[in-house]
Amino acid sequence: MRMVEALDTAQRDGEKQDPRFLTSVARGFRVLEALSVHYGAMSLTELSRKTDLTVPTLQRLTATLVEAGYVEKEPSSKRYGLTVKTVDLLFSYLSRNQFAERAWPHLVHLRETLGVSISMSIPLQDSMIYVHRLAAYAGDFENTLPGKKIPLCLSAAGRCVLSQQPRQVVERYLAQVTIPALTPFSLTDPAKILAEIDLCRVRGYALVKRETSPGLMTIACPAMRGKTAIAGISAHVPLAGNDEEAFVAKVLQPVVSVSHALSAG
Amino acid sequence: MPFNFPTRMGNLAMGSNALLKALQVLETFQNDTGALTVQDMADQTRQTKSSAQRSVYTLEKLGYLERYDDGARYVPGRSCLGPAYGFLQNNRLLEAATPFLLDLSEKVGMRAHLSVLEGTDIIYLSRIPSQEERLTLSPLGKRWPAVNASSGRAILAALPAEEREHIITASRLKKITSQTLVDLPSISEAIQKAKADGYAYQREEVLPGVASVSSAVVGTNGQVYGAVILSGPVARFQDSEDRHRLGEAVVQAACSIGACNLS
Repeated sequence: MRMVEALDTAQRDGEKQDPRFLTSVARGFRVLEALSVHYGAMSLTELSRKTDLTVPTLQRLTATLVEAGYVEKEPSSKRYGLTVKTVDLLFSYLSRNQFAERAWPHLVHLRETLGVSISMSIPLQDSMIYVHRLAAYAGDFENTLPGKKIPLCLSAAGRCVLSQQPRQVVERYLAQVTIPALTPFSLTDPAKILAEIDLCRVRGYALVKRETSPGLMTIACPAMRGKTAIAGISAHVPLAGNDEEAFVAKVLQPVVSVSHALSAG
Repeated sequence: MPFNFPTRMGNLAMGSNALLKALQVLETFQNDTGALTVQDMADQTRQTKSSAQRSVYTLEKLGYLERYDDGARYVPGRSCLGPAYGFLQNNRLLEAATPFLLDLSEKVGMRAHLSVLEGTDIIYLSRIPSQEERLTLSPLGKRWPAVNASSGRAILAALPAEEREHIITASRLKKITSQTLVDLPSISEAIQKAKADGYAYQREEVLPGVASVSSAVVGTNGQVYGAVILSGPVARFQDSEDRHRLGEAVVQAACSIGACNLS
């Protein structure tokens, strides 16, 4: 149950009292992560609001991040943005990850045969983070980018991951996690999310409509290692022009096959 | 110069030493392809083992490092995926180029890519799935020496002479394959030829069996933003007419991208 330990925010707060834990390192990465989820460069004031760090602390951390080459300061606006060096971090992860490598051709094939957007995401703390995203059509720039995070309890893949945990563990998790609404349709009531996860446990797949993006419908299946869900394989279509029943009938079996092919033990 | 660790702590009275050391520990994985022990990371960053150990402990807690199967070694963790998203979603060049790259890939049945210059390297920014190359992971983030990659040569050919010479002088010339050009006259000649042809070409200099053509993306303001690449099996580039046709295709795509609003 290692994943759920990682989900326990109370324990994560406990790390702050851990003498071996380097607070300034954690804060530096908090700055990087705040910039990662923001569209456009950020001022120190905006960073301060997002990270709960003071401006003097942020000046110190951004100086180091600029020195190390991950962040740059726009000379005209004095706002901070990420540099191409962040892509090195992604490459250092992907280039060693055999699971990600093994999954890629399956996903390419899935996208070709189904003609819909395909993705693979893995759990990271309270989120699912995209490892691979294969957009169905060319106009869809943002949907081609890996590294985006979606809250675990709203993401279809995240609900698959949670569905493989004991029900009481999930219930406890939902009671203590902050549930952010990404769209007006996002479920925020823990009981309703728990019901969705229960349904996913029974059916073996999760279906999410409009909860993560207002016009989108997603179906996801878990890839397993033993009894733990290590990733979710998802197919995405615009709601407009796609009927739920027809979508499930068309993509469920191929998505299940790929998630099985990527499961082990 | 991506792969060195200058001892610049002295200049950092303002900053955080612990953070800089942790970032340097994480960067050791760019020098290497495998999993690393704490001792490996300490050696490569010239830190003491206990200092590296402190960084590793915190990086693992934050998800930037994960234990490798054997438990004694580490690999970069999944948190490493996040920051790149922030950079890429704000990258106007990649956004403008993506539809053209998809279109080009489809038209010639070969994978089209985008790269940018970073120091003396080029770094791939695109990730276009294609039927042809199912077996390799798309090389988003892959670096090659600019003097050897076709996209690097295309970018160098488009840059002002002074900047070009500066980058060539700073480059470390080393054999990657048996075909890699490592003498300055041959490299300069290849860049001059790129200038004359409008596109650059390399054959098996970075990957055995693979050749590529490339053309620089130059904005309406004259700035050199990056380059479009078509790469594939050597056989596709063997015939000079075929090669020229592929060269013309990258030139056209690069021109269309350059005409977009990139800044």
